[in-house]
Amino acid sequence: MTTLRIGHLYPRHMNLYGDRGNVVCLVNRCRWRGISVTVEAIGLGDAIDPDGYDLIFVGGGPDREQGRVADDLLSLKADALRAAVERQVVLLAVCGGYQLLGRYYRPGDGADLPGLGLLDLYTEHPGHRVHRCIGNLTATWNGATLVGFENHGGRTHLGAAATPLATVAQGWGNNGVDHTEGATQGTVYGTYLHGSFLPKNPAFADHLLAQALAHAGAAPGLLTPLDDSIELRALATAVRLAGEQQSTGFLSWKI
Amino acid sequence: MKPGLLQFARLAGRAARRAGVGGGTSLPGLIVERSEPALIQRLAAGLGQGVVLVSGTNGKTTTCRILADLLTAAGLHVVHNRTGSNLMRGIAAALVNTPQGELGPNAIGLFEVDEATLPEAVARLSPRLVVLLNLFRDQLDRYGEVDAIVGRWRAIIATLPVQSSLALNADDPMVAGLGSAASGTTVYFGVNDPSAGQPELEHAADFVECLACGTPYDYTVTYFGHLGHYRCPTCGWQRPPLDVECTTVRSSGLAGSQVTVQADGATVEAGIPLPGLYNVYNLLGALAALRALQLPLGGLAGTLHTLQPVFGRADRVQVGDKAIVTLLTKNPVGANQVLRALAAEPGQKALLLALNDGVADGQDVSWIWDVDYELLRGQIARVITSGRRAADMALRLKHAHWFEGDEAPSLEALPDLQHALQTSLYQLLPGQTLYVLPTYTAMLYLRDIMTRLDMTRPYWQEALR
Repeated sequence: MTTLRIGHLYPRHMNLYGDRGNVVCLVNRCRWRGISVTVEAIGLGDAIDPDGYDLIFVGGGPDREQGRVADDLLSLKADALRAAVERQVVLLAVCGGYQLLGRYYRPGDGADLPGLGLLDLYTEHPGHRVHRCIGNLTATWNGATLVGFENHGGRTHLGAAATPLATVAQGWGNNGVDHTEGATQGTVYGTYLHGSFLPKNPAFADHLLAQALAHAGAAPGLLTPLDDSIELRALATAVRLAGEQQSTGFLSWKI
Repeated sequence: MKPGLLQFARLAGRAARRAGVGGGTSLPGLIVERSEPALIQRLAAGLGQGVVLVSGTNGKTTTCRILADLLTAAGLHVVHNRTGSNLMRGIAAALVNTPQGELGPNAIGLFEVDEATLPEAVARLSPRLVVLLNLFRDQLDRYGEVDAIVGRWRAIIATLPVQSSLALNADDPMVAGLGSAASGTTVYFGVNDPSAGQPELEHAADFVECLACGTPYDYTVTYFGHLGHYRCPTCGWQRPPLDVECTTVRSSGLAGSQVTVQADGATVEAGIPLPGLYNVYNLLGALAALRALQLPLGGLAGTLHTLQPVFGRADRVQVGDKAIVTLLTKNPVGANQVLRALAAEPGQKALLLALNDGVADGQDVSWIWDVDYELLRGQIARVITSGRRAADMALRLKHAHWFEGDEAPSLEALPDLQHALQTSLYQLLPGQTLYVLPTYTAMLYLRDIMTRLDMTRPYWQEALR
C-alpha cells in the first residue's frame, strides 16, 4: 500500500496565518479516502532527504524570521530541494515561503535576500509608506475559482520561466498591477493566499495530491470523490464577501 | 473650553442610547475627540489618584473589572471605560460621562487600552501606572505582527517619567523584556506552579527569541501561548523574579480556580469564579497593579469571591430551565484556553460557534486553523456554526474530526445568529447548557439578540450601573 509522505518545512517559524491548515487538509483528504499519509517537520538546522517526501509545504512567516529562514534554506537545504523538485516532488509555498522560492526578495530597508530560484520571479517591498496588499482575493485557475486572504507588503513579478498560477478577479495578487496571482513552474507552486488556502479550495488540494501520489508511485484512481459541500459553501461565501469588499473599497493599512 | 461641549456630548450619548443606536457608549467621546481633544487631558487632571492604563492582547476587560472592584473596595472612586470601548474615544467617553463632582482627590482613572492605541494613550494621559498583560498574535490584518507592537510599546515606555510604574507579566518574554526600557518601578507577576503547565508549546504559540541576543528561549515550563518559564541558553537572560507570585492553581473547570498568591511576604488564598489559567493571569495583573499603587493586598478574598464575569467571558444566563454560557474566542491563544476549560467539563456538550470577519474581529479568518479544536473531539453532542463565516467554522470543525464517528453530531451552519441561537436553544434538553463561542462582533450582536429576546440587560445599562 502506498504511503504519501509530506514534509512540513519550518512549522514553528513559518506559520503566521494558520498556514498549518494546509497540511491538516492534505492529511485529512488522504485519510478520508483510506490513503495512508505521514507528516514530518523539517526545522531550522535539519537536512532534507530529496527522496524522503512526495510533497513539501512551507507557509508564511513574520518579517523577522525571513532572514534566518532564507539563510537556513540556502546553506542547508537548497541542493536537496532542487534535487527533489527535479524528481517531481510537489512543493507548495504560501506568502513568505513563496517569496523565498524566487530569485530574491528586496525588503523595504536593508539588503536583498537571495532566494532559492525554484520559481523564476523576484519580490520587492516598496517600503512601509506604501499600502500593504490586504483583503479577500478571488482568482481564476483552470476555469475554477480560487479564494483566500492575502496580506503582504512585497510585490512579486514573474519571469518567463514561471507561469502565473491564477488570474485575479478581486484583490491584489502578485503585485496589484498585472492581475496575476501566484506562480507555478514544474511541480513547484507558490501563492499569497491564506485562509487557510487548501481547505477552501478542495479542487486545488486534489490537484496537488494527484501529482504527489503519482510521485509516490500510487496507482491512479485513489482520489475518489469526497463530499465537499461545506468546502464549496465556504468558497462561495468567500467569493461573495470579496465582492462586497470590492464595492466598499479595500482596507488600506500601513505598518 | 467651548461652552456646553461637555453637556452636549453627554446628551448626545444619552439620546443615542434612547434611540437604540447601539450603546451610544463612545459617542460622547467621539464628539469631544473631534471638537476639542485637549479636553481629555483637562478632565484627566481632575483624577487625584492618577491614571492606570491596562493593555495586552487578551484579558484587558476582565483585568480592569477585577481591578475596579478592588480599587472600589479600597475606598477609591473609579472612573472606568467599563464597556470595553478601548480606543481614545472610549476613554474620552468615560471621562465625559463622569459627573464633575465625582472627579477629585479620591478619583482614579482605570482605562483598558487597545494595543495599537497604547502609545497615544500614554502620551496624552501621563499614566501613573501601566499594566501590560500579554502579547499574542491577533488580527494580523489590523495590528501587524507582534514584533511591531513590542517595538512601539518599548518606545513609549522609555518616555515614562521615573514616578510612573509598570506591572508586567513576567511569564511573557515579550512583555517582561519591556522592563528594561522603564526608569520607574516595575512589578512583575507570574505563575510558579508547573502542574498548571502543558507538555509543550501549542501551535498557536508565537515564536519567541531572546530580546538581547536573538537565540530561541529554552522553556522549563509552558503554560499557554508562549507564556512560561524561559531562559536564553546563550546570554542567560531569563524570566525576572516575581513580585506577585501565584504559587498554586487548582482549576475547577468553568466554575473557576482556587489560587494561592504571595506578595510582599503576605499570602492570599482566593477563589475566583472565572475559568482557566488565563483568568488567573488577569487576577495577577490586577493584584500587581494594586501593589504598584502601594495599596494593601489584605482582605481581598471577599472581594474576589463576589466577582461577576463580564458579558462574554464565561457569564451564565438562565433562560427558563436552560442556560447559556458565552465564551469570547477572538484569537488562537485565547480560544485554546476556552477549549481547555470546556474539555475539563464533564459530559457531552452543546455548542454554538459564531465566526465573524468584521474589522474588529480581524477580516482574515485563517486564525481558526491555529486553534486546537481537536481538543473537544468526541465531546460534542450538538453543534451549530454561525456568523458571516459559518461555513469556514464548520469546515474547520470537520477537519478537527467533530463529525466523525457513530455518536458524532451532524454538521449545521446557520449564518444568521438569532436563528442559530434559537435553534440551538430549541434543541437543548431541560437542565442543559449551551456554550456559545463568538468572535468579538458576534458577541456584541449576540448581546443585542439576547436583550431583544429579554434574556439579559443591555450592556450599556450594566456600564452605567
